[in-house]
Amino acid sequence: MLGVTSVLSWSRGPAVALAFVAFAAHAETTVWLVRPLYPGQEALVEKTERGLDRLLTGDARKDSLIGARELAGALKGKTGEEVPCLSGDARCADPTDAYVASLGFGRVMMIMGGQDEVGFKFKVASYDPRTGKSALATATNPVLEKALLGAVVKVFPASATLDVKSTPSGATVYVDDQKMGTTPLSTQVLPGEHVVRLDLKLHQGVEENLFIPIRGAATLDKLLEKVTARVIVTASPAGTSIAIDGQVLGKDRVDRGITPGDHTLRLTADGYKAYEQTVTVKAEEQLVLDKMLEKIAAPEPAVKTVVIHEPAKTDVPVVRPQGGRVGPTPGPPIIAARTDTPVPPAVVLPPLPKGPTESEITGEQRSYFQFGFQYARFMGNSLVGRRWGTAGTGRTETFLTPSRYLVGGEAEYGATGQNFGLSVIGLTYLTNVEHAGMSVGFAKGTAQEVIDGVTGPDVIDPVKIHLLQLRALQPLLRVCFWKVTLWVQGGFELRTGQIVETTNPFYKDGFMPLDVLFSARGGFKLRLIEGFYLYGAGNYAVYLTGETTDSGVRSGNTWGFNSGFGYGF
Amino acid sequence: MLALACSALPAFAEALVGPGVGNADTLVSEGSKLFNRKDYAGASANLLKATRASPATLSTYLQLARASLLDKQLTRACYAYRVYLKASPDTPDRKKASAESDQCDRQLKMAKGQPPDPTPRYVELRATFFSTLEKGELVGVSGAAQALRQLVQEGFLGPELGEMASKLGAAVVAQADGIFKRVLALERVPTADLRAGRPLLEVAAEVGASPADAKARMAFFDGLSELAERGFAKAEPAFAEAAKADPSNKEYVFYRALALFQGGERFAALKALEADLKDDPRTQVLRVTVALGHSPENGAAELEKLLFTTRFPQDK
Repeated sequence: MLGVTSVLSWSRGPAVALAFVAFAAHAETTVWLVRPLYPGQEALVEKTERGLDRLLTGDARKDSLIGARELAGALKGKTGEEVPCLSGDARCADPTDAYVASLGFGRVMMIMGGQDEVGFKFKVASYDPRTGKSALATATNPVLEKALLGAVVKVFPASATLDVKSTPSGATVYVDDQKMGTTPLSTQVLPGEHVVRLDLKLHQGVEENLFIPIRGAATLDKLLEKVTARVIVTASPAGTSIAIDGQVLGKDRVDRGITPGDHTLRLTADGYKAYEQTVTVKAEEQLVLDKMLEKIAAPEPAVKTVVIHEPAKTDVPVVRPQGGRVGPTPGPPIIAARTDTPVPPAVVLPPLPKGPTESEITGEQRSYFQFGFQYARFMGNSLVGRRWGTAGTGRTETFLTPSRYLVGGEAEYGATGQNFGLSVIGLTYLTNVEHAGMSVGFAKGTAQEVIDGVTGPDVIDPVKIHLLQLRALQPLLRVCFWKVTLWVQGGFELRTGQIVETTNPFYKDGFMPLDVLFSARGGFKLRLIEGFYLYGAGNYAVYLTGETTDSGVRSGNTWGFNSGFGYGF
Repeated sequence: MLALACSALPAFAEALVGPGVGNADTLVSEGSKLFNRKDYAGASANLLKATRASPATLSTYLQLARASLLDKQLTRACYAYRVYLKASPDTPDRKKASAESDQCDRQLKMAKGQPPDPTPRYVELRATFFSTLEKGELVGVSGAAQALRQLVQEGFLGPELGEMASKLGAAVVAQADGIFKRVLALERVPTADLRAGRPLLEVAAEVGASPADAKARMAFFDGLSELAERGFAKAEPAFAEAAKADPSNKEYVFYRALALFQGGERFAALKALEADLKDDPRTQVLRVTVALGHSPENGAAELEKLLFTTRFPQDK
């Protein structure tokens, strides 16, 4: 039973007619009571009551009592002689609902409001004395009225109606930047302040700030002026906000009429560099811009892609800007086609800055992780290891089998500047995959190892070799061109591990090499996608110091190669 | 009509059956003493009381029969012998009792001026008792309680009297409890039912089945009856008596306040409620109405307090 009564109207300019209509949804009175949510915020009560007074208009206001003062006024003359459950024969455990209803209150809205570090916070309870039920809602917003409405609309039938018409019809209607439909349009909106915008091709767009009260209605009727110029802006990534002359007109794509003259175009999106350009649009001209914003992470404020597309239906010539960097997939050729309307002259867009080169992108990778395969071959035939875990005198000396190479994997992390850097840490694991046997000697100044009265063998066969090589803080030099990086690095490396006989070992824990090496490696990296790259390199390690046997044998040098993949960033 | 019937009953009737009549052992002892002194009339009176105080003690019937026989109350004596022999077929002195009963019958046949055999009358009253008990007609001139009273007054004897009293006691207590609970469940109870509350509890007292809070309940029923008939001045002290007799039941306090409120004493009503039922919703609403009577501003303030206190949901 919605009764419609015109209670308020005003206009903004000759082409606007706005009328508010309040709906009398309930004949009974709604009481709005406010209390502070936090101690010492009594002043907020009056502020909230004023906000309610502003939000409630027309019959909705007439049917409302806001605050204890208005409630007292309504109670004047009511002596409370009759009290449900106390007067008469009927009894009840809780006469509250019947009592409140007997006072003629159809609903009581209890509001507890406060202000904290987040903004205004409101807890609103809607109590219906006919059912005795209460519903609670909470909302927070830096703006008092928004916080209040945010909570009220959840528990109170407060939605308002918005009717939008335009001449000519067919204009796109945006409410608070949300596309709602095309004129003529009738839709329900939340009460409060709204920005309503109408857009129509080749017509001057209009925007109105409307305040729609609780359970109210607003009508917006606009005459849209025809304009001779037009702007079509397509922007990416998705969600890019398009503003002309400081006014946000939409997201991703805007196609609208515009008054001739200078206009500032601004495109913004989170995580991307804002793009701003001033253009001059003359009468009968059309400005077409297709623009992809550049990520903030890029080294230079460059525009990767600016594509000037052919015009849409109202074909007008467009001039591609000179000197601008055209994207990898340029748009179709510009076409000037005949139309029934005069063809406006083209607009010339200014040149746009260049984007980063592949070399620059490669050079921007300042840190890396890489994992790969390593091959290492002993140049001599010796690998000295001391006894593992005991003070035994035994020492491995030379390979007795032809196979002297080891294979394994490596991992490395480094950080670089443009050309110089540091391999922060690298770790390599190597092992033999082919059969190997080794001779066993003894440490300087000792004799062949004796265990439990038995002299140890001077040959161990077969053996398994596990080597771990750790390098750290090795200086690095690199050169980047296109997607390729060439680099060399060198420094100290520590080699250790275990050499153990695999069948009936006499030397139960085996032997442990412990050498200090100078190692160098160099190679190339080929960037594939984003920061991922493949690499290949050669490696060389020279024995510096370590264990020497009684017969003067020491560990040999190695050479080999590496390959794998990594990620630079 | 029920109310009229109830009003015809004595306010405090004597106990009919059960311990309320007296201590059975004492009565038997006293009767025996009088018997030995050859005061057979006094002995009969004490022994008769003893059978009512403890209807299950069979030996008392034999002693009563002998005392009545020697007191020349042959009809009563012969009836007592028959009751004893019927109730205790296997006792050691049954043979002797049977001989005495036969002798009593012979003497009764020969005697003149003895009252007629009461058994037919007892049969009739017993039938009335059970039929009315079954119908739930417990109090009033034609109720089960009245039939039992007549049986006792007319000298009915037997262990059965204890069972009858027990059944009647359970029935009256249940009926009174039903009315009490309906009132507390906020039902609108007819005035006649409220009026029946006290007589029911009095019968319960007569047969030794009184609930512990019988006094409070009787006063409560009195108050309710008065309140129903707008006798606020009488209702209020009745509720006050009930509240005093059973302080654990706060509804008596509310009804006292209700009597005061309906009698026009709003402040006194609120004061009574504030004392014992401060947070009760009825108190809170009355507080609002009293404040409203003072000024609209006070009323609005109290109403706001009430609503925020009781109707503003707490966060989960």
